[in-house]
Amino acid sequence: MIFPAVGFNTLLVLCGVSVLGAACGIIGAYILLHKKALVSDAVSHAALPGLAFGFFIAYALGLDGGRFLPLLLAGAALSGALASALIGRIIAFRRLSEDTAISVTLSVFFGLGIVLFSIIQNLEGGNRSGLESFLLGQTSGLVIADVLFISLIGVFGGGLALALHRYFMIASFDPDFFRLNSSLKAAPRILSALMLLIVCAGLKTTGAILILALLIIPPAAARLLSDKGRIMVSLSALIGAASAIGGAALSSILQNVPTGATIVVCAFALFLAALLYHGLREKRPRRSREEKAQIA
Amino acid sequence: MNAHENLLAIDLPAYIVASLCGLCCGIVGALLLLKRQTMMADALSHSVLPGLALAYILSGTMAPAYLFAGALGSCLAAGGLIILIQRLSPLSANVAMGITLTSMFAAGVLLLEIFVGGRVHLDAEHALYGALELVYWPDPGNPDTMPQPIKTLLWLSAFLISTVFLLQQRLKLCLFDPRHAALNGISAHLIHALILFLAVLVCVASFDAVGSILVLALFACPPACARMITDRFSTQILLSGLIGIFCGAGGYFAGAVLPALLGFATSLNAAGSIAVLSGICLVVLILWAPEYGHMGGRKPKQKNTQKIRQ
Repeated sequence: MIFPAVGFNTLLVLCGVSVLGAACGIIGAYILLHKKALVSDAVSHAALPGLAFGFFIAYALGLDGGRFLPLLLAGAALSGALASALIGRIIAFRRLSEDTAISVTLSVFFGLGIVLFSIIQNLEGGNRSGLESFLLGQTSGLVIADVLFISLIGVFGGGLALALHRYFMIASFDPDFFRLNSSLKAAPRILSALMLLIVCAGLKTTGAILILALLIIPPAAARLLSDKGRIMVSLSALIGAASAIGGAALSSILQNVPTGATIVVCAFALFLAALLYHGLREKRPRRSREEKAQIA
Repeated sequence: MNAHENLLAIDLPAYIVASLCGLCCGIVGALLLLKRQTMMADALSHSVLPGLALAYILSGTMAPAYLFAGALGSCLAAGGLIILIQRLSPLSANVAMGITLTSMFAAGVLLLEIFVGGRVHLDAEHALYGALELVYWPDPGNPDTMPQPIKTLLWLSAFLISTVFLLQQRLKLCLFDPRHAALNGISAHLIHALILFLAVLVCVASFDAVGSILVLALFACPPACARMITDRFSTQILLSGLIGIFCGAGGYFAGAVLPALLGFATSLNAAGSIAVLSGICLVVLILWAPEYGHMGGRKPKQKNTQKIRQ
């Protein structure tokens, strides 16, 4: 064992969570630049009914009394995709604005999820223990297989996003040029798919509600620190990983504290630091610009 | 007390609470929708949690007055934080809301887990699902024993309706033409702050009864339904309140009463079924609303073009 003070399980959790945090930071940065931050809110809430449907199918097939992870996550991904497609359709009707579409979809999907969960609670013989952890997250129960699964998805998702950096940047900053000239027209859809993937991977760790924080807060902090695309994305990955490690360590020290919540609080602390830095830095160039104008 | 009276003592207050919540949320939601800030309701409803937790930790009781004050405080803090982030950084309103709501919610969960630890009926799940089924009125009709949530919501809806009614013209002006309002000496900032304050009040009052996610459902769906039907400001507010009442009462019926009538042993979560019912209403209206519906909305336009051709 490398660190005698830190248990093997804690080390395992730290590994998985830091990969997840970095991947969320990368993908979240592109989502932020694409102005789709709140769609990820809806998607993460909308995973709930999918989880429940996955549970029903697994229960009917007799797999693990319903808690068969692949089916649960597949359901979550499907209902998340459905929600984001629905938001697109509602906006396309042009009668309701984007934030209305998002909040309507989010609340109705989540409501459906709650209804389905209340049915699951009354199922006989259903292995429902731990299903609640998808809401608020629980990393203490992570085993090697889970960590491998999360890390694989994180590395794949983050790597793919980095490989497509150029397309995502053009699509966010000059959509018209992108539509006319790009060789990869599916880039926005790939971004949504990556978001879905990472939300599903994070469900068990930070919970449906707080995975959103990892997708929004580190990119926002990175955005305050840099105006350059590549630097912002790498900073965002760093901040994501740092807050994930800090949060996981904190929750293992405090004990019996949900990891998702500590991770979010760490991320928020880093964001506040970035906000402070941004406030201090902003004054200098503004002054110099005024001076330049005066000189000119 | 026989079984029938017992049912009345549980069902009647739940119906009242659900429909009053629907009414309040519908009215304020209509204002938020016209202001394009429906997601504000999401941020506010998640931000209630740390305030509740702090109030309980500091006061040591579950007295509604303390909880209300705590929730109000943290909602106002959240609103302030959102505005602060927007002022100090180039981040958009949506991002500021996302940051605030997740951080506040996480802080609430942490406070509850560290200091409260499941000793009282105040936990994150309660905050999400609400406890509509737990509102109990020992002898219905007797105002002395009226449960606290109903009293609060009654006062709130009276206050809300009178405010909106009295300020109708100013609200309309500020929402649609803030510059013109400013020329006439009406501060649009003040009116916008008032709308936010009303949203906070409604959020806090309905939170205990129906839970944070459902607050969002009632804030978002009835106004969106009304928006599919009408273009008039007053009709929008009125309709959205009425649809709110329908969704609240109908959702409780569908979740808690209907399964028993159909012969199922267990009932569904009432808060969730209210959200689902309001979603169904909205889908129906998006597709088949008389004028703006996707499927049925073509008729008036065709008439117009026919008129022009003739």
